[in-house]
Amino acid sequence: MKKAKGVTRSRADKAFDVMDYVLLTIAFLVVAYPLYFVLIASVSDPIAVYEGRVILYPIKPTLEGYSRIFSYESLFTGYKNTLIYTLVGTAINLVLTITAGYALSRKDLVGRNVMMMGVMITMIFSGGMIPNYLLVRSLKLYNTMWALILPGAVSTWNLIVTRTFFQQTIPDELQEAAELDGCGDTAFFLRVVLPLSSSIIAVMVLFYAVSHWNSYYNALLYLSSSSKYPLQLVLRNILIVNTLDDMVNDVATQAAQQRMGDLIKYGMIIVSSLPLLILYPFLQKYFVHGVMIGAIKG
Amino acid sequence: MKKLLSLILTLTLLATCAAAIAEDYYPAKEDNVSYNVWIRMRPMNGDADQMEIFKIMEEKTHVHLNFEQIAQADWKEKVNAALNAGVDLPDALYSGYSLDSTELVTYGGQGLLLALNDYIDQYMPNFKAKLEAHPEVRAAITAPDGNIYSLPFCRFDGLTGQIPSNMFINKVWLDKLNLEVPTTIEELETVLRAFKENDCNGNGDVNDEKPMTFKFEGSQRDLGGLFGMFGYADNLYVGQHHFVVDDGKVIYVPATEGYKNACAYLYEHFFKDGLIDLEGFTMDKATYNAQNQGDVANIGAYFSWNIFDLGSVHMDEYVAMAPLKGPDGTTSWGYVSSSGIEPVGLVLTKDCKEPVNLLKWADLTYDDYYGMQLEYGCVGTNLVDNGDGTYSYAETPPDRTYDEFLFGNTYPDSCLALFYDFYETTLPMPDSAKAKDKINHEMYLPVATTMYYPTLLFSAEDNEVIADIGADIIDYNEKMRAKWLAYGGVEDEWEDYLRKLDSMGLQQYIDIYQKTYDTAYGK
Amino acid sequence: MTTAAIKRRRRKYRLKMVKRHWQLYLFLLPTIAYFLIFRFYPMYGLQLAFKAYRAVDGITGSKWVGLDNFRRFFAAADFENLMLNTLNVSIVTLIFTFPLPIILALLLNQLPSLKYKKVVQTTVYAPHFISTVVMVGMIFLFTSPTSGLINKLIEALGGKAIHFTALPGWFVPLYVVSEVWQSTGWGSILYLAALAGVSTELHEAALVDGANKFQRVWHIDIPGIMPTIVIMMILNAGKIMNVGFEKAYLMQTSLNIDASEIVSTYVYKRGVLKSQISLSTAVGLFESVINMILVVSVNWISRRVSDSSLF
Repeated sequence: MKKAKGVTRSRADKAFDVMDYVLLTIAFLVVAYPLYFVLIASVSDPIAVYEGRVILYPIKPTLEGYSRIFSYESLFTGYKNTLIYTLVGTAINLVLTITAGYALSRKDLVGRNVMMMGVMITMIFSGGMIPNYLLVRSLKLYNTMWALILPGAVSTWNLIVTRTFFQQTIPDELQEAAELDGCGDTAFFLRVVLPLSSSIIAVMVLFYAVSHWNSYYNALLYLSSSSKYPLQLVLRNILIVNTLDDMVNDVATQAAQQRMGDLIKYGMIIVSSLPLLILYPFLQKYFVHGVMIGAIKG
Repeated sequence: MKKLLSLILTLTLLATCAAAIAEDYYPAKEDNVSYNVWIRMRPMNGDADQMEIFKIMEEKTHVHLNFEQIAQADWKEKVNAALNAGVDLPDALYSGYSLDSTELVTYGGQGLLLALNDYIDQYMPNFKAKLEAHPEVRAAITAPDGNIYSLPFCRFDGLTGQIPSNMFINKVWLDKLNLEVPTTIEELETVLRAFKENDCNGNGDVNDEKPMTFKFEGSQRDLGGLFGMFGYADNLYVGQHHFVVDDGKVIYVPATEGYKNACAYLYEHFFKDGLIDLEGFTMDKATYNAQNQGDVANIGAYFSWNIFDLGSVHMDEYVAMAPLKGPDGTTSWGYVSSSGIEPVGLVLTKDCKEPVNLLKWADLTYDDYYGMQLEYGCVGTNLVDNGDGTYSYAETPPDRTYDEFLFGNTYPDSCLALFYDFYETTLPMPDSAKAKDKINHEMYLPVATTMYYPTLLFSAEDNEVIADIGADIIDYNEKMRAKWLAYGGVEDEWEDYLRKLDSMGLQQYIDIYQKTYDTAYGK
Repeated sequence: MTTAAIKRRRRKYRLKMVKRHWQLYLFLLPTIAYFLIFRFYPMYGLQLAFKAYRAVDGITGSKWVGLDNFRRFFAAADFENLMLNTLNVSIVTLIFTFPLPIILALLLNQLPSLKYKKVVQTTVYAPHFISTVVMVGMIFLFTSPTSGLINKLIEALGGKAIHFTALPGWFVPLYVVSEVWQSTGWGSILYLAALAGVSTELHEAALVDGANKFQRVWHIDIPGIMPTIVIMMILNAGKIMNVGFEKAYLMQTSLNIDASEIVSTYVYKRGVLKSQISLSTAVGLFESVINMILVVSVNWISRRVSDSSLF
């Protein structure tokens, strides 16, 4: 935010800034340490981790965990699949959510409150797993990508957030002016609303993409070919420590499994979240400032 | 001459017929008989479609199993979702523990699973023979409604033998401190104290030794066996329900006097001073497994089904410890009469249109020659044919562990039945099983006088009651046991505790177990 | 004008609005279709709350048992404790996880250094990606009485190690702290986006008037995002009973179970693990009703008190 020319920062402002920096630095450290820990744990000797000796740097560094994770071919199919599911899924999510969110934000939409009530009800009440399972089966979506995408095509939470955004940023006067000019709803949406929506679109992309990226439950239930498995499902199956076979027969297996499982556990987080961590900074620049300059006069 | 000729002709005809019958016992190859089977893949299993044993069996039976391979982690959710929805089910579920006993009876009772009784009689000669030789198997797999819904997995070797849990102690530490392996509880206390106060592993740190550890959950790592020094050994292994059977009477251990005394004594003499690790109550599995794996051993004694559970890296330092005599000189260890029987191996769903051929395939696994290969690997790969009717284990290749070699090539613990006589005549037990068997026979069986409640199936109505009352009782019980062991106080709270158990429906709970036991084993 | 005439007028007006804005209904069409098919239609499953489900009978064919399932639930030995624990966890979590993302967003927004802002922003939302299983594993690791970092610090400062996971009193604090750690950064994203929409003109005008940063935040930023805050509050009210079972289940130990047994873990142990579908549907319905009451109440309050509400 640019400072207005010629105005110096008062003492109160300086104090505020100092407090701002201090608080945020504390927040940063508190958040960053455990993340840093995950990073160094993923390359440390697991026994040292459990004994609490891994604190500031890796102990007996090793890349075994990562090499093991990447040795699975299924990991790459997992990545590929998740990429596809995320792209297609998010695209559908966006189209549905933005259009509906906009429509619902219009005060002159008849039936608006009824629809909002309906939306709210679906957010709170759910029929449970069985009807949904039967539905997916009867629509012949079993073992297809659509079983992962369609059931979650619109998130009520996101829909409500989008609606709120439009209500806040598109002033009534703008709409009325456009109507007077003979601009239809669709044209108004495409030519005026969308260009002003970069920040909500960015937020929606982030929310939906992350949700697709991290999901595994629908894949677990509805996919039968392992070649279609998304990343999280693959990772779950690679991670053996929590499903460590209790009845193993020999020593070496026991020790080897335990060790590998622990290394993989932390490495998995890095492997699965790195792409997302990279996504956010790109989207950040769309959280644009000062959207409504010059649009409203008087 | 004519008579001879006709005799020869008749005999040839008969022989051909016999051969023909044998040949079309199984379907013809051209019939392309195939079944959709969901198979549970354990972490170390290789690709089921590549497994030699399945190919061999398909060769012989002309039955093809179309596997959908589901990872162990995903199995329960996926199977339960499908069965609860009740549509588009596979023909069969295949795996050891494919369903738990509650699910089996519930789904079976609803008609989601096929009842196999008649098929076993008519089409499964091998399995039928096993049942006749071992009636306890039939008892374990028959539901209260009289139906058999699953084909079991039975393996009576040392590992799944009758004594689920053993105790192990660090001999090297004992030697260093000039102590003998304890035989009484008082000696154990002395030894553990010595472990605690000395730097046994020689790394200069007096405090890093944990005299005794355990893991508080229904498993072989729990210290329930110690309760046997005061009365009945506590049963946390089979079904996790604390029931034992004394001369036909079903007893709920946590309501007995001996249990109270055990809690008091163990707190006073062991937990209070940290001789048994308090963290046993809160550690998660991964942390527990990570103990004792460092450069030096740091655990003095532990409980497990086998020595290498916590030993592994330092395995050579440990020896088995026989059950100890309690304060009054007596001892009792728990044993399982029906251990080694897992009732649910293969189940057929209602969507299986033609079960006969699949069951013929399954019957082949109860033929020891094939069951052996299913469990231990194929002859020529994991097993060696000694030529005289016996077999032995092949050398494990250097780049793998024994288990990886085994699980990668074959599908153990699924549906088959191998008993002691098999191990005595055909294939010796694997080394680890042998070791445990020896320990069990020498040290534990002689004093195993507490019989844990056997594996039985309950009716669907009973299961509901158990789900409600039982879950409440078990939770309450675990909570109180943890509290008393960690912090003491059992003497004061005992009366209230018994009252509360009563109000939760303890008697009804016990009655169900008694009734089911009586039905299965006859009075 | 008579009431009848007013009504006619209103109806004519509404019809006129519908005809004029017919395109908006087209916008809504695919979404409405989605809701009808994938959200409303499956609600027929709710009747299982009143039935004894058997897969072979299907949902419609299963036997009607009235309020039996609910009775079973309420008769649970520790029912009061269950409800208290659930509400305890949920409300305390909300008290901390609601305001903190807002404060974080406000602070980040005012940070003069863009570079530092970016660094902090990117780091602070990363914990969101750590799975529950690993998160709980880390909690156990850090709080271990013998080898955990936290206890090592305590001992270094002269105190005695605390066996956190063995004490019921520490369950909620551990739960809430880890929730805050995982969700604050992620939660601030929405507020940051909303803050981006607050007009800079207003800020510049305020600066000219001599307002300092704090005043500007208080009088411009906060009111500017108030609609977002209100909506988030209403939405959160609708989730009060939904304390997810996974984390509590993983954090349960036999010694802290007095505080850690909540409705969802109870239902999991009895419902899912033993396939008691009817019970879990009944409990779900019970929770949903409570959530609905809360949402409607909070919505009503916010309509009175502020301009924004959900409906």
